Amino acid sequence: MKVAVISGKGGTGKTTFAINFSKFLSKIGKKVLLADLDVEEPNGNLFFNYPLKYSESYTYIPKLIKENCAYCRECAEKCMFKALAVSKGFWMLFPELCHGCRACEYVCKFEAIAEDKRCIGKIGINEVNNPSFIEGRLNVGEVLTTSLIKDVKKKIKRIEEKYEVVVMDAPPGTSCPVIEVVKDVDKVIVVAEDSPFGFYDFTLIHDLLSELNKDYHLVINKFKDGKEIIPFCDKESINVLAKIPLEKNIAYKYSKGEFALDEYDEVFRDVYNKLIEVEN
Amino acid sequence: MKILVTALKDDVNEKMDPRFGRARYWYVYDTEKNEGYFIDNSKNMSLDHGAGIQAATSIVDEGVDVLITGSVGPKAFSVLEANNIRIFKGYADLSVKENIEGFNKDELEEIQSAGKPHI
Ligand code: SF4
Ligand code: SF4
Repeated sequence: MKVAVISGKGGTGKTTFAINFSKFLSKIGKKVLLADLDVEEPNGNLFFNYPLKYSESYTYIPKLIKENCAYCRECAEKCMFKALAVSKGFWMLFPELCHGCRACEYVCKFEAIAEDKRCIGKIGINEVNNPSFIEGRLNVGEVLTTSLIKDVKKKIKRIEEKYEVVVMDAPPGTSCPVIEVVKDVDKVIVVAEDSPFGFYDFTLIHDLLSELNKDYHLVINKFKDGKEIIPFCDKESINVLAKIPLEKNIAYKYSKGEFALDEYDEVFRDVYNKLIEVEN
Repeated sequence: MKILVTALKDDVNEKMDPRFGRARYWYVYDTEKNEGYFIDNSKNMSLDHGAGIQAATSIVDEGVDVLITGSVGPKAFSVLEANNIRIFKGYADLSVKENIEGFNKDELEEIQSAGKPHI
């Protein structure tokens, strides 16, 4: 089972939930892989402190074969991202603007463009422990977030058979990187905060998932009274998996990099049971 | 040698346009022939992004050696630099003609690095 944990915004406790949920599953004997796909700021391993084996992740960039180039500019004109500058006898790529779409290579009639690659980040993995852990780590200043997430997911595909549950910690927000994460998972868990702002962010992610036609389950974190969120869930028939109360110790343990285990076992057991229940 | 000055109007007695990619006109002055001409840059002006790179490649095509303008974004700068085009900081409150005279008298400062990006 592949589960994505997402939230409309950072700071809802999404990562804490994903980590503790994975920990709980491993404790009850499941083989679990936790994937930190918040590649701009992966911090999952701060809690595990596993030694990770890293490999680099690359993206396509075009390379000029000078002898063949007629400086016709077709490539620069067709590049949607304006990543190429061409004039008489001059061809230049702005790698940071290039999205690796290969349009330039495709339109060149002179076979003057060849494939090259550029490193956009790295992928770290530890398969020794349970939960096992994999993360993507984008290079500083790099914009190709979704490319790296795709690459991490490719790697997950190759090893996922070994795991009963794969938990994916998605990047915050409601844009392409999140869509990339939820695209082909079996279950989506949204973590929302019980506050006016939290509710607003939640409605954004709700709209996104409705648009994608994706069912999801809700975990309400820092639960107080659910004044806004509960009526909304009733109206939209959203499956609420858990209401995690606003208690100091979660935040406290999180800030010390510890796990909030044991006292929350019941919550996680409940979440897991409800997840499989809906599955059958 | 060809000198290019960014201009607000197609008149050498009018002021320099401090913008590079989005300048309304370009005045190109050929020192050997001792004559100049205006280029209408309005098509670049309306580009929402990539105006700087477009403009830089166009002036490479124009065979320009020296550019006089307010400031140049980093991408355009690297195109100009790679083509050995020297960039000088002109005065927006002086006319196109006065800026060229200033350059000839060695009174303009050469720009050695890019200004803020316009993306
Ligand atoms: S399309 Fe090909 S030949 Fe034309 S400028 Fe680009 S690389 Fe050169
Ligand atoms: S690969 Fe795509 S984005 Fe990159 S330079 Fe070529 S056309 Fe532009």
